[in-house]
Amino acid sequence: MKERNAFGSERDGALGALLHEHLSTTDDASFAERVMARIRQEPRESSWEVLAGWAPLGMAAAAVLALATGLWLGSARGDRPMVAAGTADPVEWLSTNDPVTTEFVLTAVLVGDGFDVNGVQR
Amino acid sequence: MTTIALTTAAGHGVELVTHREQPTTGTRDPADSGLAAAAKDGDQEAFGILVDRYAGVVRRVARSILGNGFDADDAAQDAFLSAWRNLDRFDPRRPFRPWLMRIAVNAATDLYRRRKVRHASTLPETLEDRAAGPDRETDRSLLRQRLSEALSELSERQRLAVTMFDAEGYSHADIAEIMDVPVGTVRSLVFHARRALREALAPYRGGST
Repeated sequence: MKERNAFGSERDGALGALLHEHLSTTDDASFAERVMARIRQEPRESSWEVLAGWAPLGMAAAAVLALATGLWLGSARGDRPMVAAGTADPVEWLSTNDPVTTEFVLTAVLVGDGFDVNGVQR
Repeated sequence: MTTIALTTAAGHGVELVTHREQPTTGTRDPADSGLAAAAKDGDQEAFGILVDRYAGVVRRVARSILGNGFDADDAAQDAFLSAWRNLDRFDPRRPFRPWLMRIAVNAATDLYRRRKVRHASTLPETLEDRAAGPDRETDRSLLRQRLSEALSELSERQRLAVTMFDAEGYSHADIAEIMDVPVGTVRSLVFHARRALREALAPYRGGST
């Protein structure tokens, strides 16, 4: 227990061994057994079991979302005339105030490349 | 194994032989990580190995804070239960032992604050129970008694810091992380604790072999 640089990182072996011996007990095994007896009363679910518990709810939520998306898309199409509304002129389509749809753009590109509105090459 | 030879003021030699495991805070312990991962998936047997492995150090650290053996064991048990319940929060890429030690320190500190009315002078009550026999045994008993008294005069943070540094072999940085204080604070705590303990044990001269 010699005085060394008290703020240094060197350990005091004598003091440390004294403390270690002083604070140690001899019945660690029985203590561990008591702890494990408590833990056996609290079984943990594995990560997979936790995920499995959430799976039905998740699948139901996904189904509801898919259904809602389908209904929304269907109603959106019903509100607006399809692209093959009678004209084959992309310039005219582009000059309208209607919101752009995927079909509209695709048809415009195809027509511009020499296809008619039905996708048949001229 | 460390053999400590101390000489009392009366000239009697006292030898303390201790066995100390080294902490693995600075490196990853694959065995711990594997066991913790298995425990995380509900493997009680794997967690039981970790409890066996760390029961000693967790109890010593709890005793350093609480003194009273029964309270310390309550805190140590709470620490293991808390670790078991919160394994989902354990990051397997990090070492298990410091994570567990932080839980243990928090459990013991919480209990210490709740039961502060009980003075820490109850530090290892078993010391007083040890029978005085031949002179050498009496000297050992006196030495422990003096150490017990000296520890009871330190703050719980000083006891924890000096125990973790000198008795358990943790670095200042590891202790700072476990105690959630700056490294400078840990150095100061260790310094003041050592000074008080050395003064208290001044009648006993000696060194480690």
